[in-house]
Amino acid sequence: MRTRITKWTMSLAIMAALALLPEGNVRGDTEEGTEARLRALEDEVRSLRDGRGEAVSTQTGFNPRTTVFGDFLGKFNPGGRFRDRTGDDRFSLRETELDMRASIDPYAKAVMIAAVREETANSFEVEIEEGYLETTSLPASLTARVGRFRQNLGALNRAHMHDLPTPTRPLVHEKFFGDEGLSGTGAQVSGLVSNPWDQYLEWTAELVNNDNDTLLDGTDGEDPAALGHLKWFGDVTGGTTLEVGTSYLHGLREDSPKHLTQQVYGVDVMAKWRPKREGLYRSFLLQGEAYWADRDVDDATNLDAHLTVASPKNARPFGAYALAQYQIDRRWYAGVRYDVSEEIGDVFDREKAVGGFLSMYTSEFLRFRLGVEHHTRNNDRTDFDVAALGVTWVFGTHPAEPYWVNR
Amino acid sequence: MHRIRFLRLMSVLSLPGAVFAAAPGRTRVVATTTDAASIVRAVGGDLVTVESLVEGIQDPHTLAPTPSLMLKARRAEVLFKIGLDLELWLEPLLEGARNPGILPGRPGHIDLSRGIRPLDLPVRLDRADGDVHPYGNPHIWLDPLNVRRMTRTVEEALSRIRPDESETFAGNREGFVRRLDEALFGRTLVEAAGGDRLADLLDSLAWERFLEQTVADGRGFGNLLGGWLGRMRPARGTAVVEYHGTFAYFAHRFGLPVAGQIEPKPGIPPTARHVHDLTGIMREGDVRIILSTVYYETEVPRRLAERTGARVLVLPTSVGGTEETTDYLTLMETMTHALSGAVMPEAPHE
Ligand SMILES: [Zn+2]
Repeated sequence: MRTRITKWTMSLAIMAALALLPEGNVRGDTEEGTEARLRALEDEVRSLRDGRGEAVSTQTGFNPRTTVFGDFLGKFNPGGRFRDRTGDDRFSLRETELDMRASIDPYAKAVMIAAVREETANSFEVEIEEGYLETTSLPASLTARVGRFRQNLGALNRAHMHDLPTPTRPLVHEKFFGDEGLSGTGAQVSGLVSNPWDQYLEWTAELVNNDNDTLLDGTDGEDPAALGHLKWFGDVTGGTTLEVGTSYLHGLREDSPKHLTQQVYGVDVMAKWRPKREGLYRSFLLQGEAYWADRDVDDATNLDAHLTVASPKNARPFGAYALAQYQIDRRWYAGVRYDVSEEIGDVFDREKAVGGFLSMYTSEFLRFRLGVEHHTRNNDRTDFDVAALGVTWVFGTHPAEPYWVNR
Repeated sequence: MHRIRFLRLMSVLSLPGAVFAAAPGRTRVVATTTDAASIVRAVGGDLVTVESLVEGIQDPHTLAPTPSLMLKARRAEVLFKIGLDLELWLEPLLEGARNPGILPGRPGHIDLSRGIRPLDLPVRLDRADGDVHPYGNPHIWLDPLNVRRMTRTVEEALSRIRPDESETFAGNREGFVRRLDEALFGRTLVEAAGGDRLADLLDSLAWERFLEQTVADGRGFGNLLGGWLGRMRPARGTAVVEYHGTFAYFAHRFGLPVAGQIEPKPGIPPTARHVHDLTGIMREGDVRIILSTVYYETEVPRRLAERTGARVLVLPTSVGGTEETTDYLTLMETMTHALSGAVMPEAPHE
């Protein structure tokens, strides 16, 4: 519509201009005559040009860039046997997220992400999911961050709920790091490792409070938890990239008078294929993560009854997942995920899940997703199915993060 | 104890990346697109090494930031982008590149859309209109006059970085603009009227009147018109349908009315209903040309062509989009050639 209006006004303007101009068929017999007429035309050009200013955008000013994410989920569990996840089998506005970011000065920028979550039925909680200050001008490839942030652990932990390729977080993330994954308040420093092979090698070091819901469940502020991540990121062929990372996490255990520690080791791999010419229509993603925890166990504290029996010194719960996703065309993505994870406090309680999902984007800003999962648990020999319908939408400024799943 | 070890480790890990030194005397430049790269090369000459991030066969709106691209951006002393929000992927890529010198707002971050009048400026900013570009259509490089303006931005930027070489940059620009003018207007006309003046006139409402003006020997300036404009002159007024707004500036410059787009709204894939509507518009307006580019699917344009009897032209819209488009001049040469050939199959070559 807009182009048509422009064209119309343009052609009207041209007609008007031509009508106003003096008759042009005067014969020019000399060079000077031609030159004079050209000059006259040039003057005309100048006067016409003065009328139009250049477009200057004043829309944003100093307002932070603001994006809102909405995430709706309907979960159906045919067997109705949800046990520890009661209240899950329903419709929910799982999350509404407000993402604001802006430069602070020439040296730093800030990000604030507030999330409103439906924790239990009809009860919403507001949480600062991330709120940090990040440097933009440190030398030698260094970046420092302070505040609260999603920790740089593995491949998927930094992604927000709405950016996940699947309707749910992998089991190992939920069981080891909590429903929302691992976030922490503290400081982060990251940089690139210079190397003679011209490879992209990134390191991250974090020091955060040891007060995460699940794993870093200590309460002692004097003993923060530390995280290290090293990532190699390379181009395998023209359209394929490979990311291989390894994570290490160290923290104290809750209420442990003897300073019992726990450590988590992780590896993550992500391969992405996207052809150059058909990149809008085709892509393939293969991703996997595996975690091993190593937790000191003390007989006297009686923290984990099972563990004490199994191994008096320490327990080593394990969890992993593998994910594959294929882009069928510009709008549709299909994928599968396999999950296995032990409970962080009970290595004998192991859950497995196989799931398939299908995503459809009407545009970059709206996604519908259907997922089914089949779960089995070894300790009570139960199995159950879950079907989930998710709708995710975005409005406001174009999202800054690269996520929005491989788009 | 632990802390000391940690700090020592950090200082080892963050040694400055001085390994990548440019060839002596050459400024390392990264350009977002091949077109920007071609323009920078024309002005920078031997004093720059230019790498581009998007390849000519790729959609410039969507680019996955890969490690090799981040490393290219990491080494660059200056970055040139097309601007107008074409490169929304640039922010995460620059984050990964960790090169403060080329971040937005720094002297090493150059926006080539500066001083260019955008087309298709949205009347309102509403995503109901699709993934609208809030600053207007960003495909500015397909109008040679815009490229003329962009060479000046490049010259200014490079001269600011290397003031000693500013004369060389000015000379390179002059040479390139001369070749561009000759390719656009034809050598005879450039010699008769001068490139700067022609560019000014072409950009004004007085252009048609100018072509009617007679020269000393009694012929009109219009008779002297050659180059891309001369070639495209018979095609003027030929309505076209395009896949996306890619051809807006090209169509505007060469006088091709755009009757519609295959995408119902910018960035929204074509729907059956929209294709149906477009079929009606094309039949009614006797639209015979469908323009698309190398990175869009060919199925919908083909179906539309079948229904309307129109012809699909898949053209490169960036340098490197096809093998023969090795720089900006050959790109425009290819585009105007293909279009004029499709519109006037019998038209003799000059
Ligand atoms: Zn576009």
